[in-house]
This record gives sequence, structure tokens and C-alpha cells, in this order.
Amino acid sequence: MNTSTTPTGRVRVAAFIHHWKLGRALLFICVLAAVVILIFPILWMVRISITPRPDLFLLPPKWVPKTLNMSGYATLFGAHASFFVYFLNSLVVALGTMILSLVAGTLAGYSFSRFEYPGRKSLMVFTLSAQMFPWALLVISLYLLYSWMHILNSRLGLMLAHTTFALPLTIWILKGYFDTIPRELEESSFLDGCGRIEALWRIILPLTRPGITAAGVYVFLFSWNDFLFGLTLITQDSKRILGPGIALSFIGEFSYRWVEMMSASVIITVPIVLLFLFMQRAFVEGLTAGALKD
Amino acid sequence: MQYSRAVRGNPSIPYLLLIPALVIGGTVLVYPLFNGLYLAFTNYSLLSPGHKWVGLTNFINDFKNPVYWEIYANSIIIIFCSVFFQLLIGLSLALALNRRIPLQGAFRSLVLVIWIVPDIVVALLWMIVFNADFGILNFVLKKIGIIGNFVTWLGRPIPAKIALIMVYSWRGTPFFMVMLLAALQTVPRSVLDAATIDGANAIQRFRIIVVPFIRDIIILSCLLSTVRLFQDITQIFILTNGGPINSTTTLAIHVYKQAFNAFDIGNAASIGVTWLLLLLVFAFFYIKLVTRGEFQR
Repeated sequence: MNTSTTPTGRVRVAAFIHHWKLGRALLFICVLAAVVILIFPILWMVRISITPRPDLFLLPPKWVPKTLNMSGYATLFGAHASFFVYFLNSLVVALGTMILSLVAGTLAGYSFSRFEYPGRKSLMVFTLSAQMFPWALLVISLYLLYSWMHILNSRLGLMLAHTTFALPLTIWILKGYFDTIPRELEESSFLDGCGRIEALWRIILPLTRPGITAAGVYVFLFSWNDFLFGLTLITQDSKRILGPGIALSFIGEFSYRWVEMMSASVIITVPIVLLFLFMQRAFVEGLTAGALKD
Repeated sequence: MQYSRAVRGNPSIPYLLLIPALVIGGTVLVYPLFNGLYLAFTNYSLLSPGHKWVGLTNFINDFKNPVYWEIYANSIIIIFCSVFFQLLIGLSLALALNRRIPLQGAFRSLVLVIWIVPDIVVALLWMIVFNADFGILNFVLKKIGIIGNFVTWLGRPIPAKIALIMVYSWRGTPFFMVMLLAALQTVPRSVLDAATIDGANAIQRFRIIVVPFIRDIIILSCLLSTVRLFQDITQIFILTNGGPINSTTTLAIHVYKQAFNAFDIGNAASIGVTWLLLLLVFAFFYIKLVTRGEFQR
């Protein structure tokens, strides 16, 4: 249905045109300028990744390169196959972290949302404060613990670390969603002889899908973004994830080979930007809902 | 019968549901936390085997060391300025995008992309923007006359601090924008319209009606962003590695370097512990703010 043909729609369009005065045009231009400036470094990254090497140091720069140079991308998957290894490691760790966090987070979030019991409030508060403890301090003990347990250089160990620090927000996002589902729904399923876990699995989870999506995207991004834990808990180059992998090998090795660095940056940014743009609404609602619930 | 049993259920069910989270959190969070506290009172070093209890020695050495205070000052200056600009730019964007303007949705999505670019990519791309010889920042600033000569952004103490504040401000703006846009949507239109009819101008409307509605979210966002910036080592590690001469060394990168470059675990832990005490103050306000609505039910 075209809203502009309905009476209210026509009124709205008329009102819009009426208000479309200098003030609005100015506002639009200001916002446009601000967004262009803000987004510029990202465009510049893409631009450098396809620049022929001699053009790199030109000032004033060529805003749009005349010839394309895809050699940066080719190098990453050719001689420098280590980038591909980091990429796979990051993917494995991020997916594993997502599964661990969603399982533990769903169970804990459900427990916080549906039951009253001694210790509930203090546990919830402790969950919140977990993000505040200095990670650089924790990672020291974690490093000693992992080396004592012989799980340094283990991707599972890294997943556990990521899970711990992604879990607080995961629990709060999911608890928020469980809170919105009326208890009567599962209580009626008890009449049919369902147990708690069965009701959670069959009735509640399908209704919480937006919350699970939001939490899942959040956890994936958290793990994909990690630098500190990957840097300290993994010391073998073949097990490294993207952040520390690039920092430790590329910057030293490539020194000033900017084109390759920017090609790598584009490759690791594109998948998550696509993921994000598809899930943007669920993600943003999930993250802001917790803060706005009053 | 079946019904009431399931509803009341086994009283241990809520605890059983928490087990996975508690096991993971206990191993990776609670144990390292207490062990970190313990290490701060020892002379543990990765270079020599064995360690012993040394009481407050590490803390006393910290307090006597001017570098320790310099690092606190760096952290506070860099983080305070960054959060200020994040709020300023984020709030302006949120207010603008809360009006009906063309391409609103596209603008919002584009700014949000800044939020999800991985930290490592943020660091690398700003490294190129800041480059002293062919960096685009120097070129643009010189063109519009803000600087006379090219600045070695990452090679001198004050420009390096400014550079980090720019990166952090850029990175945190979308977070503030999203939070504040969501908060602005809770401001009832009818109240704003009524105020307009009563003759309130835009600034009065903002100060008297909008601010009370978004104040809590502003405080919450500032707290969250502050805590997050305290944790960051990625940008500093890549862009300046704390230099030149400690001018961009913050608590996080200093603790990391003391532990993993100097191998002085005891000293690193003692700095981490004073940092922890500082953050507990923030944690207190954060928890009060977030749980206020939660526990009133």
C-alpha cells in the first residue's frame, strides 16, 4: 500500500514539505558532512588496499586510483598463508565461544528470570561487575593457571576465556528476553506433563529467538575482536587468532607494506559488517533493551 | 499433581541451571582474581623459580615511583577526554538523527559500522591516517591551515596523546549514538509538543524535558565507556606501544608490559590491584544504576 495516497499520508507529506525549510536543509548537510568525515578512515582503508604501490606516497593523494592493484589480496592467500591460518583460528574460536556462551547464558538467564532463591541478587550483581575487573591483571593469573594446566596454546582454553568475559552481557540480554515471556505459557505446558527443561527447549527458546540472535552476534563480535587474551594465552604462531597474529607477524614482517595490511583489514572487516547489517535491528535492540528497561 | 510439582519443582533446579556459567566463570574469573590479589604481595617473577610473601613492598615501591603516578595521570587524561568527545559527538548525532531527515537509516547504519570494525583494524587504519610522511590527516590539516608543518603524530608526547584520544573518540561515538537514540525515543512527543505550544524554544525543551529523560543513560554510557577504555591495550600496543617515553602508557598496557615483557609478576599484580580498587568505585555506581529498575519488582 502506498501511504502517500491515503488521506493521512498525503497530509503528512504536505506537512513534511511545509517544514522542509532552510533549517532542515542545513541540518541534513551538517549530518551528511559529519557522517562522511566519520566514515572516511574506513573508506580510506579500502582505497589503500587497492592502490598501486607507487601511488601510495603521493600528496595530494589520488582520491580514486586509476588502476586497481589486487596484489595485496593475492599475497595474503599466497606466500603469506599464515593470514589464512589466523582467519580460520579466529573463526573456530568465535563459533566455539558463541556456542559455549549461548548454552551457559541461556541456562543462567532462565534461572535468573524465573526463580526466586537465596543468592540470586548477589550473583546477578557479581555477573555485572565481571566486566569491570582489570583484564590485564586477570590474564596474568590466567596465563600461570593455563601453563600449569598445560592448556596454553589451546583454542579451547581461549574459548573458555572469551566465554567468561562475554557471558555477563549474554546472560543479561537473555534474561531480559525471558522476562518478557509470560509465565503462563510454560505453566500450561506443565499441565501437559512437560518438565522444566523440556518447556524451556520447546516453548521458551523458540520465542526468544531475537534475543538469542542478538546475544550470539554480540559474542561472535567479542571473540573476533579479542586481542589481549589471544596475545597472552596463545604463543604458537599456528594457533594464533587474527588480532595478535597480524600485530606480531605482519607489522614486523611487512614493516611498511601498507597495501597488504589494509587488504587484511578489509578481509576481516567485511564478514562481520555483513553479519551486522543483516542482524542490526535485533542486535541494537538486544543491547539497548537491557539499559532502557525501567 | 504433576502441575504443582513441576511449578514448584525441585528447589535445586535454579542452581543446577547456573552450573555451566559458574564453572566457567569460577575458573577464568574468580580464581584469577584472588590469585592476582595474592601475587601482588609476592615477588613472583617469570625469570626466577620460587617466590615468597613480601607484604606491602610492591605497593610501597609503586607509590615511590614517579612513573606509577605518570601512568595514572595518562590513563585519566586520555580516558576522560575520549569519553567527553564520545558523548559530545554521539549526542549531537543522536539529536540530529532523532529528527526526520532524509537518509536517516543509512546514516545510522554507516556510523554503526565504526562500532564493529575489529580493534586491530582500527589501529592499523589510524596508523596510516596518522603517518607523518604521507598520512592523510597531516595533508588535510595543513590544507585547511590548522597546522603549519607536518606533525609526527605518534612520535611526540603530546601529539601521541591527542592521536589516541582521536582514535578512542571516533571508536566510541557510535555506542553513545545508539544508546542516546534509544533514550531519546522514550521522551514522549506529547510533552514536547505541549512545551512548544507553551512557547518553549529548542534549548529550553532540551534542558527541561529531554535531559531528565536521558540523564541516566548518559551516566550509564559514560561509566561503561570509561571502564572499557581502561581495559584497552590494542590501540596503544599497535600505535605507540606506550611511548614516546611513557607518554601514552596507560594502566592496562603497563600491567601487561610489566608481566609479559619485564616478567615482574609481583609488581604487575600490585598495579593491577590498585587499578581494581579504582574500578570498584565505578562498578558501585554502575550496578546501582542498572539494578535500580531491576530489583524494584
